[in-house]
Amino acid sequence: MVAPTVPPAASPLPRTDILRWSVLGRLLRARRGRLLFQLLLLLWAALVIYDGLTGPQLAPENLATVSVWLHYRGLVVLLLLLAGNFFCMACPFTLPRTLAPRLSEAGWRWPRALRNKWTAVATFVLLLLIYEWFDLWASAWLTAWLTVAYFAAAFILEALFRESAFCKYVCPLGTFNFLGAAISPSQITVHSRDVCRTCPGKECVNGSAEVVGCGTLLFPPQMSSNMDCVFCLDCARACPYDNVALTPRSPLAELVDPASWPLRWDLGLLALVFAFSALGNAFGMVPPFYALLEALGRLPAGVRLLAIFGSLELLLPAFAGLGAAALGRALAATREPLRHTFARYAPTVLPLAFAIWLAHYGFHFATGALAIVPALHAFLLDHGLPLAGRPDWTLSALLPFSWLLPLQMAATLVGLGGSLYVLERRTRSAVPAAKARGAQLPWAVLWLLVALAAVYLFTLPMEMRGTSFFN
Amino acid sequence: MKRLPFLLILLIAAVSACARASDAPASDDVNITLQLLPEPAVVGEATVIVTLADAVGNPIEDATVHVKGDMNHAGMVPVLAEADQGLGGMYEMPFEWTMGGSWIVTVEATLADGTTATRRFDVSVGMPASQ
Repeated sequence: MVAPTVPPAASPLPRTDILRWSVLGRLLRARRGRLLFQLLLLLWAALVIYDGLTGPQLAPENLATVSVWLHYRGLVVLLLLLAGNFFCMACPFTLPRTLAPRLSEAGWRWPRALRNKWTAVATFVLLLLIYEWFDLWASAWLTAWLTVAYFAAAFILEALFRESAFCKYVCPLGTFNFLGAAISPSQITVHSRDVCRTCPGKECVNGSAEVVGCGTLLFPPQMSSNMDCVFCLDCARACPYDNVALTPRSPLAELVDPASWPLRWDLGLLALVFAFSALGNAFGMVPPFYALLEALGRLPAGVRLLAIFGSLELLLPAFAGLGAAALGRALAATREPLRHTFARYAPTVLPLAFAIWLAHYGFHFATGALAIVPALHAFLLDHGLPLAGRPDWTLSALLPFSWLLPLQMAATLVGLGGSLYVLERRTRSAVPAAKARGAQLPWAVLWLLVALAAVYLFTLPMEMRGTSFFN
Repeated sequence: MKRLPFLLILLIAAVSACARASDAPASDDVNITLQLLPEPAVVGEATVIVTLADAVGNPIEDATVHVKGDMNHAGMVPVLAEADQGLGGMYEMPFEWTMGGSWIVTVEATLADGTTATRRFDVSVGMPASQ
């Protein structure tokens, strides 16, 4: 049993509690509320697996490729931006935990050495590499098997370990959502810390006979960020005092607070990897990437991809971050540990990083959201439903194409502004005003370069070419 | 409960062994070939020439031919073309490669007797020399 302490002050107490709204609040807090959302996504996942394995193996005509690579990714970024981490809430991969609490409480604790984000850094980059290597966007069959692999991995880890180790330490999709939720406009908190201080059972994290506690072992009065929160709301259901709240907040509230994230190497690197992977993922679709691939000669495709994306998404953020931290420390003439400097300023990239992901995934969603209509039409016709007419394969775009580049530029610019604002606020709270410019200069230059790289990539003609050994 | 994962794996394996009728290959009785102008294909306007012949090599001139070009990524508007007259079995259609990259061109021919034949071609489209 976990016996956490209540800090004297964490995130501000809520003025609005979404969980107390009449319809939405009741639905979210209902005992089977999460299950309802999970079943909807389970149905989606079942369709992905079924059509991916048995349907037409042409990406634009298959529900697996259309709904995963256009709709899932597009809706995730939009929901994170506008609401919160509700895709983790509705995640069907963790259904075993919702349906069989005993299964997840009988296991071991996750190994202490792995209770950090190093594994998440590795799985996040690995998934992006697999995406490029196997051309996942082009293969309905592999998309289906990826979904099956997700179910298997989540089930095995949920069964073996007591806490939700899969969500907290392993899942690359959850990692994406945790990082994106840093700029989400909602967060879990409590109405009264005194209630938590005197609570004997701490059911929100320990659970009770009827309700499981927080799978990722978060204690609501201690929460100062959305990191590791899957919005399952088990804490709200378990609290015997109805003291847990889901409250709206400013999208930058978490990041301007320098105490919201612990000053750890792994967290700082994760934020940087998130940013540089946004560039890397967009880079994989433009002509210079294919030119670079050719320039690497006759090496196996996997080795060339590993060299490119390993450098771009892992080595470059690590060295750029360390360089900025060392330079900023020197310019500000501070003697604090390099880890502190690195971990304080690296997360300030998140507004910009999220904006680049939004611009990229939003582009695909905007150009292809309606493609689901003919794909579904064809699916239903294939299964004997008497629908009129043939699928209209020209249905595709949600927005005029001419709007997209300006929208991508605007998103990047707003993201850069957000990152510079957060950087300014964090600097002011950490170093004297006279040293602030020196401390933040390397980071500001780095974020500017990242933004310029994104703008450059978005202006290049897109070229989607298979690179895998399947070709 | 312990058997559930194994049953699920069996179910998924069984499903993966199935393929729906829509994935059927082209009819053996119709030989479909595709010629691109220019060759190799580059982004921009182009011409596609579909040639239809029967099993013994006689040209098929009275079919209706639909051509659909898809990117290998979902969500891109496909390029469509159609022709219903094929002198010497050759159906020529204006086309446009809207993006560089890997394309899948689906040719569907509907013969005079109502039967259809389908064949897919992988096409790599490059960028024009000026880009």
